[in-house]
Amino acid sequence: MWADSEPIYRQATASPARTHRTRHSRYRLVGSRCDACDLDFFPPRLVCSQCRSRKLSEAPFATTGTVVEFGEDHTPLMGHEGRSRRPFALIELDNGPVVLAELVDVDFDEVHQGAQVEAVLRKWRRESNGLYQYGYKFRPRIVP
Amino acid sequence: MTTGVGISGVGVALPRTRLATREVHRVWANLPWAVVERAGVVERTVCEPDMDSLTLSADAARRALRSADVETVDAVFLGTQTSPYLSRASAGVLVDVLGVGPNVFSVDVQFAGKSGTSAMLMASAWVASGFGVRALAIGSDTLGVHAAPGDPFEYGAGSGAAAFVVDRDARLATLERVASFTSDTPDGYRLDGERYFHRGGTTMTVTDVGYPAHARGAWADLTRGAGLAAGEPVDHLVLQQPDAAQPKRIAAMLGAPPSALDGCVLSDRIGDTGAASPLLALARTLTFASAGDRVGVVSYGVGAGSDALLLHAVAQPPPTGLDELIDQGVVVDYATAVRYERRYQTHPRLVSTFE
Repeated sequence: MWADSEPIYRQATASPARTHRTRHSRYRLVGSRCDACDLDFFPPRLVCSQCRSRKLSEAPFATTGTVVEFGEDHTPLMGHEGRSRRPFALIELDNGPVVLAELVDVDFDEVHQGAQVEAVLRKWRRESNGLYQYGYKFRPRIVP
Repeated sequence: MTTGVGISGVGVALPRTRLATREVHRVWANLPWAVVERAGVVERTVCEPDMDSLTLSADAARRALRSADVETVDAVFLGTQTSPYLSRASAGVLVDVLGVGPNVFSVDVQFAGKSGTSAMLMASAWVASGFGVRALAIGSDTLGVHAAPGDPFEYGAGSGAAAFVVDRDARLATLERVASFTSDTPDGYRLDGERYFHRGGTTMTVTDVGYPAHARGAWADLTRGAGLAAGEPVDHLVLQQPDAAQPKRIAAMLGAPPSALDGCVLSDRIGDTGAASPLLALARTLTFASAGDRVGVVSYGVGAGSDALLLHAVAQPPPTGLDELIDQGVVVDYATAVRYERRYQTHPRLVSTFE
């Protein structure tokens, strides 16, 4: 439900088209893989940065991974103003590249290298056009 | 041999943040504490700033698909009264979030607190009719976001979601019979453009024209059709839980022994989760029901209507993680809860990257 208290980001997308184009990578970590040299990209690319091939296919990466390195952010970046401290981590996906993402449902003290995490859908922000932008964040892996 | 239409996968989701009713009472003191205490809710879940009913349902739905060990469904029925959009279906977003599309029927179902069971009935009808093999039924709500500060509704208004994979060869529980009871009873509503729920007030509650009358009506119809003798108990009774006291009263009214509610009431620790409330309780019940147990479900949505379902447990699901979710709560103070749920008045805020 819309409310004045939901901040709207001035610099965010002007058009719903970008929301539409990026949905699979935001929701399901879909990146691209170069057909020629098997290199993985996330977010997806149109041209391989290694062999310059334009033949890349969609590759849905694993939604589970391992914390490689982590840190804490005290500045209220867009979409995160509700929390004073946010743990961030570089996460090596189980079958693909490393992504930088926020960690949720966990206190900073509990985060450690090698922690097993899983992707979860959260609201990133409300766009200047009024749309909600949803995307991945990560939390400690829950078995079921 | 197939078992019949019913549930084959269970998934649940709850926010981690909790607000104690004692804390709400400390701030507002708008009811005698004995009255708050009598309702039985100790803590309620608080919707976090980056959550809404769509993200909660996505979490529950992903777990349900994993629990059923399937990757595709033919239909998605999302029951919620607190969708982030008024005219854009959250179920449509869910289809892409789950990666089950695009040739999938999807729809938002709205009937206040019974949106979740309504979604389940529709999903069951969908697979029973042969329109599809498998459907996803979800109940999800963020009531706390829509409880006016100072309204007694605020004591219990929580958030949560539960999802079920429904198919024609149920692995966990078969759906034997359904019944409903509907009338124009304005005991709760929220008009187009309004942020906060109105409650019908004591004239609607003391007269029992709402939840008790509708639950009784739906249950009477169900038991008649199912050939259950009056008062013949079901093994487990799952009820709508606007607070933790009403389920006990309704169970007695329906002629069920108090033991039928054992393990089926969650609202004392998570509050009123709206459309998710009966489904979360059902998810919990399936984890301890024995094969062959009869499980009765009665939901209630203000406005008003009740759905009654009779299920037969087939097998227990793999661990749902619900007890862990309930136990891992982090209690916050009132101000934090209000900030998380954005229940304060302010100017429209256009902000840049750094606030």
